[in-house]
Amino acid sequence: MESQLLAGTLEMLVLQVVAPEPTYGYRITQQVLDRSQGYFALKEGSLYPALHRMEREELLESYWVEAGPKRRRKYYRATAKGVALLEQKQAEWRRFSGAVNSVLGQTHAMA
Amino acid sequence: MQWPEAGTDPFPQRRQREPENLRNDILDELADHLALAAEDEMDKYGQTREGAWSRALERFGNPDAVARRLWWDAMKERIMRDWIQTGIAAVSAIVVLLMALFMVTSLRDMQATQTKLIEALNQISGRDQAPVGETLDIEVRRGTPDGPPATGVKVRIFGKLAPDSSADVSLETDAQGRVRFAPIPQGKYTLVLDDPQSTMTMHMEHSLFAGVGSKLQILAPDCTAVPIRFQVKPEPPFPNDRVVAAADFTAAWKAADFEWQKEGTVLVGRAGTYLTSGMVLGNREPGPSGSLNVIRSALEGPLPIVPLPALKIELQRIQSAFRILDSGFGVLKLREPKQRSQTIDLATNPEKTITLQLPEGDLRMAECVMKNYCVSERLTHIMRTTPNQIVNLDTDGTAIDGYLLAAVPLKDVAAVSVSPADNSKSILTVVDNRREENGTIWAGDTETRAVLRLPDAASLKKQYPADCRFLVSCLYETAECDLYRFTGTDWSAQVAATMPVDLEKPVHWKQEDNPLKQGPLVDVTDFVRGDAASAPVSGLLVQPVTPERPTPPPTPPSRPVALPPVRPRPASDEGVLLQTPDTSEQWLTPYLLVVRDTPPDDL
Repeated sequence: MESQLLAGTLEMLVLQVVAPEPTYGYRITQQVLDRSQGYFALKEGSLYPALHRMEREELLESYWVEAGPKRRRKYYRATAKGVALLEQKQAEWRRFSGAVNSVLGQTHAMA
Repeated sequence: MQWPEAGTDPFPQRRQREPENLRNDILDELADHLALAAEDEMDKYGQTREGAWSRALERFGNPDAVARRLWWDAMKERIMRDWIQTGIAAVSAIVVLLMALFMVTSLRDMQATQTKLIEALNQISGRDQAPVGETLDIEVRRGTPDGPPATGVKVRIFGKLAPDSSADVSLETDAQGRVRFAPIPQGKYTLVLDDPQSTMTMHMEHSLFAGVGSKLQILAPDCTAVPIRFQVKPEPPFPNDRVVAAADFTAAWKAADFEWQKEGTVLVGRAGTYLTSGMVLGNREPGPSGSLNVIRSALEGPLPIVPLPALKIELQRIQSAFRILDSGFGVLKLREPKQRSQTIDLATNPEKTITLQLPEGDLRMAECVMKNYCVSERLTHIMRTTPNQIVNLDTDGTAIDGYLLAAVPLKDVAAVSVSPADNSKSILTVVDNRREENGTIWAGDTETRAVLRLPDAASLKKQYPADCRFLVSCLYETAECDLYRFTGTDWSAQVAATMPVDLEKPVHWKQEDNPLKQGPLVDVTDFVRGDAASAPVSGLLVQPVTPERPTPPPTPPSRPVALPPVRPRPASDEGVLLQTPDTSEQWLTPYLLVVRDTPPDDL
């Protein structure tokens, strides 16, 4: 269930991490891991294909930064389209999670 | 330690439209990720460089696979687009190729068609003058394929060539019996052959196909005209106690003397070969009132004994006909021979002979209209014609080449006719001019009607008792008719009832006035139809059915009595009254009046 829930929310989690400030792939995995208290461990085989797809869909845009000798790093930042999608998915998640909680008879404060 | 390892390439073969920096970007991004992971391992957990890289790679998974995944995700649209474009290009190429082939083929066909049209136009324009059509050669021979040529046979060919055109050509066979029709367009034609020698006519169908000529060999009857002389030789009366059926069937002949062949239609015996349609042999038992014992052929079984005069005989000889050796598409149709007839006038012909030119070998049907025995049809017999033959129309038992005509006195024979075997039309009629009443009663316009006057009552009363009843019989032309007896209201076949005739009073069935008032008047208007409504009446017979009184022998006429003049066809329906001659001659026997629809000139 965890992988299925993650697959359905991966775009939202990436946009949530990228939207405040541009960042790169390794940092995105670390921030998601930290903010989820180690619950979501993004696999590179899922993250990078998602990042590239979101870039093709113009939800993200990228640029390269020199990170050392013969080393460069790819940064991603959210586009306006990506931010709008993030807000939409946040709203959907609130409705979804609220409905699930109602069924389960629990209330859970959103982090 | 690093990734990718030196000398390795995790990507597939470079594609044509692959972005130049795609592979490097993917490798750099993933390598930076691995480096950062390794640095964290070294910083957080104090791993060595190799250990940190190993730990980073272990946590990453398979970076080559990730790299290929990223490369495929970036290239798949391009690749799919290329595949689609390549497929469209291939399909287009195939379509274009097929269209090109179709156009080439069409062009070739058009060229061929144009060439043919040009040739046809050239022909139409008259540049090619060769005739169009086929050849039909016809050879006519007599009897056998090796027989003599049939010259002078008229051959006519006709047929419909087109909606607006037809062919109709007549030619005669030459000395070799040949005729050629050419050129004849292909089609279906009708051929008509007229042989003047045998008087036979043949129809056949024949088809001609383009490029295929036809040759037909046709066999005509092998017959040459020979003179046949007919003469009448009066003979003494023949004993009446013996009646023999016709055509060489005497008492000595029996059905067992013949053999049926061809499903009972052909009779073969010592007398020859006959195509029969009912053969009757019979002997009359001795005695004036004896009945005739009629015995049919073995195949038909015996008939019940019937009283006189029921006899029906019809014998035909199988005729030769046109035979086509090259049948092909021929259809044989025979026509009736032409009619020829003559009449022997016994009064003016001292030799009482007549000569006819008849085809040799053909058997003709001779018929004899009997008076004495009240027959409803004519007795017939078969006669073989040979050159210089003399046919004696007598009754001595050996007449007509061994065939017995009839064992009856000739004076009781009203007429003898000779006709083709397959036709009832007479070609020779001998009229007994000793019968003064033997004239002609013309039939009416729409009804075969006749008004018959009997002899005067005084004569009949002398001959017959007062209560004598008369049988009025009507004879028909066709051979299938049986005797009918008028019962007063309608005809009924073969009944014993007779018609009462009051000798003192005229008998009127129509209640018409009889201006002559010279004897019983019998109006047979309603008689003659009977069941055979369309059959012309060939004769009327009035005979007493009660025994007659002994009568003195007849007084022979002092001089020949001329035939009464032929009366023209009456304009009204009254018919022609038969006037009895004012003579003292007594009627000793029942008489027969011959009624025909056609005048004697046509006989």
